[in-house]
Amino acid sequence: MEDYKQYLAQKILTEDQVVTYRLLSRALKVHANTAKEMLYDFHKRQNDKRPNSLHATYILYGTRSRPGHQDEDVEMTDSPTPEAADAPFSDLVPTFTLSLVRQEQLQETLSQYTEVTSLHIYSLAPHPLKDLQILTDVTRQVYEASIANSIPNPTKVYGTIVNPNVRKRERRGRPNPVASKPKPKVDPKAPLKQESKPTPAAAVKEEPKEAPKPATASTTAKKPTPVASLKRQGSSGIGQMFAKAAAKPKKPAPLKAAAEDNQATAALSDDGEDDAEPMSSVKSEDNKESSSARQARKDRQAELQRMMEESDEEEEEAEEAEKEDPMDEEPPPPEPEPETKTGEQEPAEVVSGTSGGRRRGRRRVMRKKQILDEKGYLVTMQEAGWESFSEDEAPAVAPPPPKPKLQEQKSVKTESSATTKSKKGAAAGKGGQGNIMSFFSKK
Amino acid sequence: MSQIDGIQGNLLHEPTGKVEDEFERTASDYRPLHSFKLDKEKSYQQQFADMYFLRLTKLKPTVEQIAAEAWRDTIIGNEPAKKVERVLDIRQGELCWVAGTVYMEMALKPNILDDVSKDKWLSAPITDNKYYADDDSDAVTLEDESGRIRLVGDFLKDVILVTGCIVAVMGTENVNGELEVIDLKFPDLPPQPERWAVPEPPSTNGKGDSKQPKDEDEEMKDAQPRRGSGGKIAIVSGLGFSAQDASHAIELNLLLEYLLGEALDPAAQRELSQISRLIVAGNSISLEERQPIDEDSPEKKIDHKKYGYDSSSYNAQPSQLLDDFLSTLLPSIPITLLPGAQDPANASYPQQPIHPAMFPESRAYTAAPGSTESGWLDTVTNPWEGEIDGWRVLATGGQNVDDIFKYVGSDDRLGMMEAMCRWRCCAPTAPDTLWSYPFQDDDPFVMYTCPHLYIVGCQPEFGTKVIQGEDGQAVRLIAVPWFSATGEIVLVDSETLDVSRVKITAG
Repeated sequence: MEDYKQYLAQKILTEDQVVTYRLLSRALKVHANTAKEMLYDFHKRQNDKRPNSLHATYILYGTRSRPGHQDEDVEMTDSPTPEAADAPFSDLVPTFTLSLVRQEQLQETLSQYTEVTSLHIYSLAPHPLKDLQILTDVTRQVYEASIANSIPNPTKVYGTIVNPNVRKRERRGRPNPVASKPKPKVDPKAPLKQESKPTPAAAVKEEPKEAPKPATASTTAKKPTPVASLKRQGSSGIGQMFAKAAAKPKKPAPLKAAAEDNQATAALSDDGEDDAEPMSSVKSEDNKESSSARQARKDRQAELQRMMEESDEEEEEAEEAEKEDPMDEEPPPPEPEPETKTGEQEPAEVVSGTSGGRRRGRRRVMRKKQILDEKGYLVTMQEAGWESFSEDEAPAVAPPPPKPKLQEQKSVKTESSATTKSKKGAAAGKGGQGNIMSFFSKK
Repeated sequence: MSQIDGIQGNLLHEPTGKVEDEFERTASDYRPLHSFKLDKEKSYQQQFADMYFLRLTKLKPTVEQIAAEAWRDTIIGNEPAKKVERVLDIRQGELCWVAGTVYMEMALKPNILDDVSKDKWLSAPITDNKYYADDDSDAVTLEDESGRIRLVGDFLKDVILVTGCIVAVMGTENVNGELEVIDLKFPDLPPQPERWAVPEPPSTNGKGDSKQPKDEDEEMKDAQPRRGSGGKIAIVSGLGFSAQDASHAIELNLLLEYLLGEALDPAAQRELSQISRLIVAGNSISLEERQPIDEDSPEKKIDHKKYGYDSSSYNAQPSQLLDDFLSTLLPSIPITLLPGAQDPANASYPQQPIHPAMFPESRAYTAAPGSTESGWLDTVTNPWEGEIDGWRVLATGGQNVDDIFKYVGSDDRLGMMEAMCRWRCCAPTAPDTLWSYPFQDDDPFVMYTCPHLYIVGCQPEFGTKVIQGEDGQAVRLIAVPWFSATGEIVLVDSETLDVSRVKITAG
């Protein structure tokens, strides 16, 4: 019971933060009403020791005496005729007022009430709050804290009114909520969670595993894809763990897993891509958001990593790779495109040479051609053509194919060429991960 | 009251360590009617004229019956009032009465014919300006399929009239070809169903079904009398979640804590657990920060635009905040969510439900697509009709009243709501000035059944009153103010329909 004093002392006095009764109840897993009493107790003790060291806000609830006109308003009888325009428009109804006030205004506000039914401390802060809207940020923490350390039956513990009739349907596959929600993450529980992981060092290197998930395509898009992909050619990090054919070192992502994952989340793949697209445009403006998303990603990776350790004995090898490659934050390679798109065209490619792990050759592409016909209409035609490519010239300004397209998914070869293509897409100033959106983009 | 000690629910004491009571929320009996649901595959090819025709055909018999009874023995100057079938049949100098549709000729009212003649094909933005001009330049006319006649007379000054309402007028045609109005009758309140009229499985067979005045049959079928839970219904509108304007963010938080029953003391929390349902009547998202695309910055426009979608101009945060708000509340309280003028739904009446895809967190509480049962989070149409705890409820996001408000010189919004009930039309100004879907077979805005509770959201201030009809109907009218501006929510007792309001303030 005494640990709330410790918690409050640390939060308020040491960390200089604002604590509301809800945050306290979430942090200590106590009933909201108990938290209100704890805040009062702490406030009293501290201010007895050092006056004015803590500043509280209070909630009042009750009937407020309204200035003046309350008495002369007469309860209006209903008028069945519409001619009652001169009468007071509305009936008089009881009004309850819930006020949030600073401790300085408490007495004054109390005197405005004719009856107060509830009074409790709302928040404590080490300094007077200039703007009560600041407390909104604390609510955000409450929201995140209650998600982070979700406990069974939270309503019972926190004192929320329970509803036995609540109906919720199970969803077949949820898009990852974190990726779709760029929010400033001030979750106090997150670090704790990470520490509890067995190998924090390994947690960060698992990034490539995220690649097949459509939901994380958004994070992919935030990074300068071409550069990262090229770097990856040196040491492909965790991707190697999946590489069935060890001779082909450039395989950036586990294809099989990708295919499976695509199927598993097929219904949601649209969501993922939609998410990805806008993100690419805000990457530069929104460092805060991306860093919070990164933090969230790390958490997930840590989780994935733990799963991996249980099943995969290639762990050590991967760790060596990790030492070689210090790119902790290295983004995953572009996601392989879903299989559904293969039907649209039949690309072919001829690999003319493989030197030092690099391939070059020609491949077949569909080019878009726009001409003005005799009536002055713009006609767009698609023509098949060949273009040469090579692996290492990826970010160069070679005439980009009108749309990044996709090869058969089973060969490693194909995968790398898909990478090349989306790189070209990126070079052309587009989003870069070769999804359905760039397929339709105008050149 | 300035003594802290005298306060009953005072939590200003040391933790007692006693086990807190657990409160269970009152159940909500909820049967939505799908009166305003449009087909997914809907055509916009039709003309709007059909709506006026349908409305007149449906309401003319009623208003004629009322007028015939009222004016049966009316003799003015030795001349009995005679009924004429069509507006065109009115003879000069004869005392007669006729039923038809009101059309308001107003200089300030947008006129599609003007726009067409000026070769303007873009719809003008909706403004808040009144059409009403205080200089007698506005003309009230009565029309039917045969023709149109101007109505004059002092009598008109005392009644609210807008385009699209069906009335019967008595008077004589003067030398100017205008009808001097002596008396005027509305269709008045429609028949009111008994409480608990909607049968157990809510009828979901589309609008036609639920609209039939078949209440007698339903009462017979409803063998087991249902009982009210004695709870309260909370109504809020204009939450106005915004990414930039945080001026009422803490009030929104307090509202959340209030509805969850985490704020206040155990005694008050026990009362709060009586709130069985939350109705959000429009404008949950603020429009303020949606600025027009800056035409001067081509660089910005070129950047990332796919499918004409400019990701830089869209801010998802308001809808995320709303989603967070809803998903926090939903485990504790069922919510009916109406769209409003600013919400991500279609702009024309009837607004269709906000798509659950807007709410990644809350959508698990919505009804599964294609299922007939209502969702725990029910995203519904605007206007919306349904039965809550046995009471027939009609709720709108407020556009219908806002539009009528532009026609008249008064501020009496409750009077406008009352007038709508007496016109038996919940959106008379559609399709003239209130954007509307061009209905072909049915005018759903005609009220066939009188609601017990008529809620209009997004109004400048709170107001409520009860109106009564000839046949014992009683309608509780509630104008719900913007929460973002007033911090007020409305609580309705689900047994007595008594209203109280709660004001939430900070600072």
